[in-house]
Parts: sequence; structure tokens; C-alpha cells
Amino acid sequence: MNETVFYFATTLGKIVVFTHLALILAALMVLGERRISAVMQSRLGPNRVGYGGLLQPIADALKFFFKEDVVPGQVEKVLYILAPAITVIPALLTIAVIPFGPALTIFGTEVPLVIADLDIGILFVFAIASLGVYGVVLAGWASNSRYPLLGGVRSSAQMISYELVLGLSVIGIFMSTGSLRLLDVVAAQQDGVWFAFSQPLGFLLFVICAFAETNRLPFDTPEAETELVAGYHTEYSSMKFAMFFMGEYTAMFVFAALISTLFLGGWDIPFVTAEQLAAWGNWGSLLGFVSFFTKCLCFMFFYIWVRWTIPRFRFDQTMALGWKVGIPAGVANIVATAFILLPPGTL
Amino acid sequence: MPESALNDYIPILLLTGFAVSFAAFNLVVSWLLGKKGTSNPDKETAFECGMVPLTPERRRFSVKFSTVAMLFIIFDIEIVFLIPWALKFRELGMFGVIEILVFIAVLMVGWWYCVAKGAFDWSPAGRSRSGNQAVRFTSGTGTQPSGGGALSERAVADRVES
Amino acid sequence: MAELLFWLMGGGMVFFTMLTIWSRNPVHCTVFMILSFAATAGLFVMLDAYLIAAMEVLVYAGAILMLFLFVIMMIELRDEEQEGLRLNPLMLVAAATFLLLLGRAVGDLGPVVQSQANEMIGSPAPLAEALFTRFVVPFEAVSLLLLGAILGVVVLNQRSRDERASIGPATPDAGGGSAAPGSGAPSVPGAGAGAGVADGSAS
Repeated sequence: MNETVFYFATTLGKIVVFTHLALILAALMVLGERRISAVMQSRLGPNRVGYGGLLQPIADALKFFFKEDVVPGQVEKVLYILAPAITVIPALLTIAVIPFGPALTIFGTEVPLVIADLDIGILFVFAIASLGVYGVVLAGWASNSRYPLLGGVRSSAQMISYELVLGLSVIGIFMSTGSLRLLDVVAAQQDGVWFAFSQPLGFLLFVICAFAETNRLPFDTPEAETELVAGYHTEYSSMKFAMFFMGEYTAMFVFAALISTLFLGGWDIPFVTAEQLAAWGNWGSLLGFVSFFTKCLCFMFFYIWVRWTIPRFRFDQTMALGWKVGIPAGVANIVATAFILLPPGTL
Repeated sequence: MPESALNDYIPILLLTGFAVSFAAFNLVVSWLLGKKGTSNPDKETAFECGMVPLTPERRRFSVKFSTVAMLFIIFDIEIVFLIPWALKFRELGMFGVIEILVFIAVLMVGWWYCVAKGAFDWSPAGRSRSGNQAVRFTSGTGTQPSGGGALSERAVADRVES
Repeated sequence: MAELLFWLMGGGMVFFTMLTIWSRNPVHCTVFMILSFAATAGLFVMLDAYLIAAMEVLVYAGAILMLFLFVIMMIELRDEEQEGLRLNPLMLVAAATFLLLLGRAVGDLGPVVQSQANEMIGSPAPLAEALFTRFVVPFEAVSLLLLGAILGVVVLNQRSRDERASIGPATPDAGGGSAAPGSGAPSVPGAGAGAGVADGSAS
């Protein structure tokens, strides 16, 4: 088979499979959230469509497609229509660098289970995620309405604040691995301990940021129902409204995947070495993929668990936590890592 | 197939194409399938909890938001400098650590100035000064759930009234 | 392939920059500028300068333009205040001079710049080596520069706060919160950050 054709075929295959995986997971996450929330509040939740409500996301999507798209008169048309797209596109793009499992062997060629194995790895995610903020702030601005504007501006202020903490929290990892490539990060954890154990402070900060960056409770002041109606998507309806949700839930999946990759060993299975996994060939890859996915799902359950455990922070508390605690803690983590990793006597 | 590193970016281009067409698909299909409703003046107005808006919708907001954006740029640049150092941290050794400590120390002076001047205090003046919000967060207990204990008296009063 | 990409990115950059200049709505200008930066990042990728490309997006498109957007939204230009580009003979002279200088610079340095770029900024490692050994003093000077910027930001914010206090009657929300100090208008319920008490999670 022609090498170029094979390369493009596998790349396209990976793109289609992984993006759909993320989108389907996002849809199931919405269902899961409703069901688990219901259990936590002694309700039943949606359980009528399909077995245990499994087809509910499809019903929701169809309903969104057929709903009337109300565009209020005061909106700034072009950006109002583009804003949901600006939220979804970066969320999908960040999937590119996430390694889903050990390399598969197809027709004797190794195919790594990552769409693009970039040198700058995690920086790509940060760069693209920093563009995702524009979807929210432009939605707020283009709606030309007060609640969306307040929600959009608050949301972007919160997201950029926590981007800093996010950036600081992962530097400790790069000091140990010496590489930004996510495959190298996973390899380092297969050889040693998971970074959740060797970088506990960085792990804690990253988890907090995962909540703040995706506007999840306890950091969901941008769309706090009790004060801002629905925040930046107050004026949206139909599929445009659903696209904000798609973007948000895909971003939640990406953060779960990043936490699994950076701090929980990626596809690493405890007490199984990389060689043992490789010895099982493609079955080993599948096992690694399952391991990675289990970690993601556990973290996504954690999202919901936290939602019904910790009440919402006030906006000033959110900002204070990010700037007054997050930044010095991130810096302290870097300094501590430097002194632990540098062998004594290297002056 | 990738012989040059540039080829790593071809999948990104393909993925961008996929993501853009996915977003476009959603917008177009919902436009095609969606119910075409009627239009009336009330439907055209901005959401105001059922009230008639009295003031222009787009209101000015606190200057603090742009302050945060400015401080964000500065600390973002700090992180951008830290990343190359982190990657070559072992090779650079103690010298690099001292360098970066000086760099961080200078910036943390700026951070401390921000804290001292209240640049990170978003709560209304009365609350952050007399109340103990700021003190609580800097005391370093980490994630303070905003339970009853963390609320100042005025906040509790607000809650009781509402 | 590479040539096609170059024309795509370079053309996109020029096109979006033009739109940035000619667009009448300042928010649209910002959006076009983001796209222009994204195209620039694409050009950096083609030069194998991945780190610089990521930083272009992260710092310029992600951070600096976010500030632009905030400021534009904050000063809230009315439609009649927005002016498009009006051509001025002086602008043409300035543009011509700049192009001339740029052409001269590219003509003199072109190939050198590119070959050095590949070695220097291709990956973070050589950059770090140069930055932390050869350019230690400038690097530390940057920290002082950033410190100065921080002080500037805080002082500017402080002054605007004092001015506001002296202009109108102090409202309880003046310091934080998102709502502008009331000008006789009914205050938005729960608009100020402080007004909304975190009252659990009603969904």
C-alpha cells in the first residue's frame, strides 16, 4: 500500500473516531449528569427514551435541530451566529494532541493513537484553549443584552485568571520530563510514579483549574442562574444554544483526558510495565485505551459529584482564589520541584 | 510518512477543517430544519425577566475587568519564560535555578504589590476591608467553601432579606 | 504543498489585517486581528518555529487581544463615534516609507534570517540555552520591565477608582461587581458580583 495514502487514511480515521468519541461522550455526559444528579437528589431523572434513558441525548439533539431559532432584534447578527461556532471549534481542536492509548500496529506499521504528536504538545492545548474564551465573550457582547454581557465578561475574566494557574501548575511536570510532548509525559509515568503523587500540589491546582476553565460548579458564576439568568447564552436558542453545551462538555472531556494524561499516567495500568503492555500487541493497546478511558470517566463523575457537593463561589471569591492563592501556590510548586529534582551539591 | 516536523501539522489542518465543517453543519441544519416562527415586537426585545428594558442593554462595566486582562498578559509572559527553562532545567543546573528564582522573586514583588493595593479584591470596598474575606484567602487554607462561615455579616443580611 | 500553505497563510494574514484596518466596528476589528495573528502563527509553523507559533497565539491572540476586547467593550463606542479609515496623504507616505525600509531589510537579511531561525527557534531547547546563558542580563531585565508594568497597571487602576469616588455618590457596588455605578437607573438585580450570594446550586 502506498505510504502516503496509508498515512492520510489512518490520520483521517483517527480524526473521525476521536472527535466522535469526544462528542458522543459529551452527549452521554449530559445524560449522565442528569441521571446522577437525579440520584443524588432522590429523583429518577430522564429514564424513558431507550434503555434507562440511553437514547435521551439523541432525542435532545433532534429536538434542538427542529426548534425555532429565535434571534432577538437587538443582536449583532454576524458575531451572534459565529459565537457558538467559536466555542465548539477550539474545544474539538484540543483533542488533537491527546494520546488515547499505546500505538496500534496496522499492516505492520505503528500508528500512534494520537491525532498529531506535536513537539509543543500541551502548549498547543493552552494556545487553542485561550482562543475558546472568545466564543464566550463574543456571545455576551453580540447578544447586546445585559445578562449575557455580564456573564460573558465575568466568564472571560475568570477563564484568563485560571489559565495562569493552569500554566504554572504543569511546569513542574515539564521539569521532570524535559519535554512538552504528551507521549513523553505518559512514558515518564510508566517508568516512574504518576505525577499525581510526585506533584500533588500541581495536581490539586490543575483540578481546580479544570473546574474553573470549564465554568463548572463551584465556579459557574458566569452562568449563575440565580443572578444572571443563564449568563452568556441567555439570548440563544435552538442548536446555537446546544452548541455552547457541546463546546462546554467537550472541553470537560478534554480536561478529564488531560488530567488522566498528565497526572494519572495516561494509559498506564498500575503494576503493568510498558513492556508487558507492548507484548500483548494490539490487545495491549486496547487495554491501555480502556485504562485511559476509565480514568476519564472517573474524573467526569467527579465533576458531577463536586457539583452537588460544593456550593457556588461568589465572583470575588473565585478571583481571590485564583490570584491570591493559585498563583503563589503554583510558583511555590515550581520552586519546590526545582530544589527536589536538582541533586544536592550541584552548584 | 512524516519526514519533516511540519508534517505533524497536517493532521491539525485536517482536524481544523473537520471542526469548522462540524460547526457549520450544525448551524446550517438547524437553520434548515428549525421551525420558522412568527415575529412580533416583544419577541424581538432583549431578555429582561419579562419587563420592558428601561436602560440601554449594553452597559459599561467595571474597569477591574480590563485590569485583570492587563495583569493576565504580564503573568502570561512570565509563564512563557518559565516553559523553556523548565525544559532545559537539568542541563542549566543550579545557575538556571538561581536565575529563575531572581526572575520569579521580582515578579512576586509585583504580585505582592497587587495584593497590598487590593487589585485582586473584587468584593465591594466595605466588605473586603472590614470583612475578613481577603484575610481568609491569603491565610492559605486553599479552597474555602462559601458556606455560612465565609460570608460577612452584610452578605448574610442580604440573604436573609431575599 | 508547502508553497500553497505559504500563500494561504500569508494571504490570509494580509487579508485579515486589511479587514482589521477597514472594519468600522471595533469588535469586528479585534476578531479580524485574532485571525490575522492565527495566520501569522501558521507562518511560524512553516518556519519550524513551533514554540514561537504557540506563543503568538497564546500571548498575542489569547491575552493581548482579550485586553483590547475588554477595553473596547468597556468604553462602549456608540455607532456615530466609530469612524472607518479615512485616507490621508500622510498615511500613504508613511506606508511607502515603511515598505521601502522593509524591502531593504528583507533584501539584505532574508536568507540569513531564515536559516538562523531554523536553528535558533526550531524547538524550545536552543532558545532556552541562548536565553539562560548568553542573554542572562536582558532576561533579568525583562523581569524588571514586567514589574514596572504591574506597578503601572495597579497605579492606573487605583487612580481611576479615586476619580470615580470623587465624581459621584459612592454606590455600594463601586469597587467590584460588574454593574456600572447607577446613574439613576434601576440597578440590575444581582448584577454586582457582591450582590449575588452563593446560595447553593439551584438548577
